[in-house]
Amino acid sequence: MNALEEAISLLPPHLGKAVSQHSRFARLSEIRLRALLPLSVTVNGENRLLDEKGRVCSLRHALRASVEDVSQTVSRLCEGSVYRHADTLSRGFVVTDYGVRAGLSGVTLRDKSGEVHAALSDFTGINLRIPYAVRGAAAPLLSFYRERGLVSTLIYSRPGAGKTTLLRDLALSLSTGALGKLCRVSVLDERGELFPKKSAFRREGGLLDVLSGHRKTEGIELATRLLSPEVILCDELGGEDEARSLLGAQNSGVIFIASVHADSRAQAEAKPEIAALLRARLFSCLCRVEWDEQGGGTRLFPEEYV
Amino acid sequence: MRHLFGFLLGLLSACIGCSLGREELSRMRVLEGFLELTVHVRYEISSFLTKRSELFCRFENDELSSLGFLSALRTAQKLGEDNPLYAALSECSGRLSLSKEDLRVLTEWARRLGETDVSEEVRRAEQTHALLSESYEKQRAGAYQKVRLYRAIGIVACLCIWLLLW
Repeated sequence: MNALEEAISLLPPHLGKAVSQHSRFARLSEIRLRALLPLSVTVNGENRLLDEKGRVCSLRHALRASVEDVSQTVSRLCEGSVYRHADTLSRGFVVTDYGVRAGLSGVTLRDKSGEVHAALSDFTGINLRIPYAVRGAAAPLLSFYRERGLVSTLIYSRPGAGKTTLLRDLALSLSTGALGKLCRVSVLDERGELFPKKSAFRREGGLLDVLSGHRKTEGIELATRLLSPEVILCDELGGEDEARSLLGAQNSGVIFIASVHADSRAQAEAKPEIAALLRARLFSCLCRVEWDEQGGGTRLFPEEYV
Repeated sequence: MRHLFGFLLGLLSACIGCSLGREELSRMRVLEGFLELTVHVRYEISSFLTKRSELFCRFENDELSSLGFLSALRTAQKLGEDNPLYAALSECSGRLSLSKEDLRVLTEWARRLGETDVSEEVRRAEQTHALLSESYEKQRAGAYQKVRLYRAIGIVACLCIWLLLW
C-alpha cells in the first residue's frame, strides 16, 4: 500500500471509487471532503470537482459528501479510536501510518478549564494531503551547498508549493552522502508527515534520525543533546518559543534547515520570530520554493543571506 | 402407572423451579461479566490507548464465554469489524438474558465507543458501569429470595402432586 491508496481506503466507497478513477490519470496532492459540499481534489495546484465516475465536472454535477461521510472518514482515520489521536485532533489534524495528513475543520469543544476536546461529531471538513518522495527535488539547493558549503537554510514558500517534499529529499540526500560525505541528520517530524512510520521513502535514508511526535522545542533540545547531529531539519517553523529554541542551539555547531510559510522574502522577514532568527544570523541561506504551473514541479531559488 | 406419572410430574415441577432459579443467577453472572468488561475497557483506554478493534484481546470471563459472547467478539475482531463490541452485542442480544434496559445501556455505550477523547471515554465507561451496577444491586437484592421462592414452589408443587396422586 502507498499513501494514495491509503487515502482512498479512508473514504466512503462511493467517494473513494470516484477519486480512485481520477487518480489513474492525475497525480493527486489533496483530497477535500466538506459536509454537504462538493468533493474536490487538487492536481498540480488546480482544484477539481469530480462526478461519480471520477470525471472532472461542474459544481452542479459534483459529488457531495454528507455529514455521515465526513464522520465515517474521521473514524477510519482514527481507526475507530478518537482517544488515540485526541492530542493531534484537538490541534486539527491526524497523520496516518503512511503519512497522509488529514487537516480537519469543524467545531472546537472546550471544557471549563479551556482545554480542547475532540469528538467525532464535531468535524465538518477534511483535507487529506498525500505525501510523495520526489528524488532530485533538492538538486538546485545541493548544488548551492557544493559551491558555498553546507549552511543553515531557511526555506520559504506559500502553502502547497513543495516545502515538505524538498525537506524530505534534502534529508535523504544529505544523510546518504550527496555532498560527498555522510551527514548525521536529525529530522524533527512533529506531525509525523516528513517520514511516516510505514512510508517506503523512510528506508531510503542513510544516517537519518527521525524524531516523530515531539514538539520542535523539545525535539531541538533532545536532538542536540543526545543525537549529536550535524544537520537538524524541521518543517513549518512558527512561534516565538520555537525561535527561542533554535537561538538557544545556535552555537552548538549544528546546521539548521527549516521551512516557513511565506510567499516572499519580505513576508518571511515580517514574521517576528523569523526576523529574530535572521537578525541573529542563524540562517546564511534563504531558499524560495515556487510551484511551476507549466512543468508541474517545484523550482528553487537559493540565495546567500548577508 | 399413576404413581409413575405423578413421580415424573413432581420431578418436572421441581426441575422447573430449580431451572428458574438458575436462570436468575445466570442473569446476575452475565451482568457481572459486563461490569468487568466496562472496567477492562476503561483500563485499556486510560492506560494503553488501545485501539477499539483490539480492546478485547485480553478480556476473559467464563459466563460471557459460555454464552458464546466472547467468541462472537473475537470473530468480529478477526473479520475486521469497525466496532466489534457493538457487532457482538447485536449478534448475541437474544442469548444474553439481560433486561431490555441493561441491553439498551450496553448497546448505546458500545455504539459510541471510540468516538471521543480519553477523559470522555472514561466518563462514559464509568457511567455505564454505574448504571449496570445499580441494576445489578437491584437484581441481587431480589434474586436470592426469588431463587429460594422458585425452588420452594417447585418442591412444594412436586410434593402436592405426589400427595394428590398417591
